Amino acid sequence: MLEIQHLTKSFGDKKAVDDLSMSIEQGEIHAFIGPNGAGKTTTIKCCCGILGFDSGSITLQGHSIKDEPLACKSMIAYIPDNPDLYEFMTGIRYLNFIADIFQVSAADRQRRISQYADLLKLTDDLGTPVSAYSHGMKQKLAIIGGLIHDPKLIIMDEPFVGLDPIAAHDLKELMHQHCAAGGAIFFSTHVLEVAEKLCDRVTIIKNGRLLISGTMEAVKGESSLEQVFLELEDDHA
Amino acid sequence: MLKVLIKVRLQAWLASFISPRTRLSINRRKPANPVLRSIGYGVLFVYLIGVFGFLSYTNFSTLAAPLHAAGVDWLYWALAGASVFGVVFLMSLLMAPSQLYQAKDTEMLLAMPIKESDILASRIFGLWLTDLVFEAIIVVPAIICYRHAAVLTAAGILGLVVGLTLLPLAALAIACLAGYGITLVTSKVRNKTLFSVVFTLLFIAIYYYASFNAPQLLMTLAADASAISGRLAGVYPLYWLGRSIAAGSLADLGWLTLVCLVPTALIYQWLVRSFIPIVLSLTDVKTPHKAYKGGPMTARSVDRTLVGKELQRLMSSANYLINGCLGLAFLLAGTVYMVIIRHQIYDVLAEQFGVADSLGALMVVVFICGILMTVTVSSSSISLEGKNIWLLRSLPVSSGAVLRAKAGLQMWITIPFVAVAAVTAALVLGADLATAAVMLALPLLFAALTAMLGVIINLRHPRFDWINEVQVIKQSWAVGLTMIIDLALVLAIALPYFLWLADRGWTPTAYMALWSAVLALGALGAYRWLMTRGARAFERLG
Repeated sequence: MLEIQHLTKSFGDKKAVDDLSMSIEQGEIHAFIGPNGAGKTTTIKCCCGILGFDSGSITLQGHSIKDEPLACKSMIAYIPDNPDLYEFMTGIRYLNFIADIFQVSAADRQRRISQYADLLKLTDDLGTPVSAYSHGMKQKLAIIGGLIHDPKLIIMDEPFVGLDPIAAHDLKELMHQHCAAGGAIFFSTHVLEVAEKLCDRVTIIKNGRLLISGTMEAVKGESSLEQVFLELEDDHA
Repeated sequence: MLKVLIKVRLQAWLASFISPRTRLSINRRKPANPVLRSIGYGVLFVYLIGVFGFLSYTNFSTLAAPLHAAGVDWLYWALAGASVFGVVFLMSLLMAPSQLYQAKDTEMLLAMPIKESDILASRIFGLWLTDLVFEAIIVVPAIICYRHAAVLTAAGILGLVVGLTLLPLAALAIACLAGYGITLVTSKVRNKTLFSVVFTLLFIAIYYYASFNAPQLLMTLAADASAISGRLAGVYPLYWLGRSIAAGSLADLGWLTLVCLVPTALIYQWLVRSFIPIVLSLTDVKTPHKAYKGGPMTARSVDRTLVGKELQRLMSSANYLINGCLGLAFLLAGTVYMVIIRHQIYDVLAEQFGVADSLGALMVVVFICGILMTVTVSSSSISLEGKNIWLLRSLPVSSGAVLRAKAGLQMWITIPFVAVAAVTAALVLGADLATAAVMLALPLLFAALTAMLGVIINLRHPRFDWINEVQVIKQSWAVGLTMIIDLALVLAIALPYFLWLADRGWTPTAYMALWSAVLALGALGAYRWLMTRGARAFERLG
């Protein structure tokens, strides 16, 4: 579904992402792991069309994010680590704004908002300005906004930060449901236990370069993901 | 610690002018040249100081000689002091609530082991720096004018320095106290934006009323100084200030020092004591929870959605609304004024501006464009995206559509006011159909072009690292540069005709038709640029 080929992105003299190649397949939950400053967020932003890149290619179902950004963006939902949403809107206005941009019909948006807001227990607060939301509530609103157009690929940067245990559980359920319905999820995380239990495949990067990528079983083998991660860290220190 | 905080504020203030991090050049992807930016700010600064300083000089030059001749030199300095006090109080009051209590770094600073007195003092220091500029605009011309008529003694110079340092400090302290009161009331009222808009418009109205009446008041003073000086002598601080400068009276300077410093110190103590409670009350404010009941939803087009989003942003912020749309209030006031003086409009134009009847239509159109220059909604609209810029960048919406919405909002809110003003002017002036048509077309096209210019300039000079939105709404290079370019455009419309072409057979109607065509071409060019190079530039932001 998502193909990243030889992606390179520099900021000045520093290469944030260096010749990275990986892919995300339909129906899979793919964890993206690496230490701070490894290039995870940069890669994610390149995939979402928020950041340009120097060389390489990113394609979503055959569409290049560079050449056909709108076609790609209409298939993606991006949920950042720190959801800075429009604070001057109420929750429901924000969701309607997103739905209008994605041209979601009135009936579909009504159904999906109701479904996801009920699941994440945000329905009561949708009439409240976003400025009054807690971090977790903003995160939930960003997730609903991400799901409102029924995206093919959901890209999330540290999605569990700020969520309470119930919301985190519900999000995991949503992720499974989305993939079971033929979608895919690509998310970065530092919580290795969650990645290990939740994900089908995992990619580990450091200093912008790929360390390893494959199915969870193949990557971790008999040990834990944490052990693999720490060993790879030591090997490439 | 206070030094550190002041240093940080100064750095933030300077960074807004020269920091190369605040923008990327569209063409070269290189940091903007800080030297060029500094020169640009210098030119803008000198221009503004020059304009307001000249106005101040004009007022004081009518007073210096008559008041000196009447032996009431103290009155001259008392009036200078009163002007300084009034301007500093007003400007400080307009800035105090946002600068003292609503800065985004409040929570971060409160979480650190910093005394609240240091936080407050560093913020007041920032206000004081701004006040010094306003004070200089009044005091420097006052000194120059006085030097033409009389000589200051050494004691007088001491009085000038000390007195005109302490008096505005007292004005600043009182303004901060009033700012505290306004913040307190604002935190309790439900519609904060409406309250702030009404309050600010009220003070701006007072300021302009005083400014418009100042020349008449000064003429009265110059003609009958001794009678008025008797009355003003009852206002002791001003009398002491005047005497300490004009007569070099150290005793009066002592009294003035006392009446300025004591209240200032008391107010500062009060502000320090109340700082934590007021900022906590602001962060504690719970938006009344109203359970969402649901209801029918309607789908809208992408363009309407984006313009709607820009409108919501505008209406949610009193600062944005007031600073961006003040020109529309002026335009409305001007339209009402035209209706009031409809029977004497040609007389007023002739008396006030020396304009012949045949030039009335062009003059009014130039006024309308001059007022439109102060509508600055679009020129801060990109910077105001701030940390939300990722949203527009991640959504499947073209950058061209985003930029069109930003320029479009300013156009849509401006067009009704311009249309009403232009049609009213045409009716009041009794313009024929062709003249009426160009009287309407020219300002409408000017509004369209300047709305797009605002977006273009903000694209070239965006700023996303603001702590307080006022920094981009009021103090950003994009807004200042847009106003300068708009002013240049107004002058380009007005000057050629009034200086040369009026005597060479050009009719105002033909001239306005020509400018309408030029502006239409300019607007088309600006639109094309926005949709192509502008869209690419937007994609590189953030």
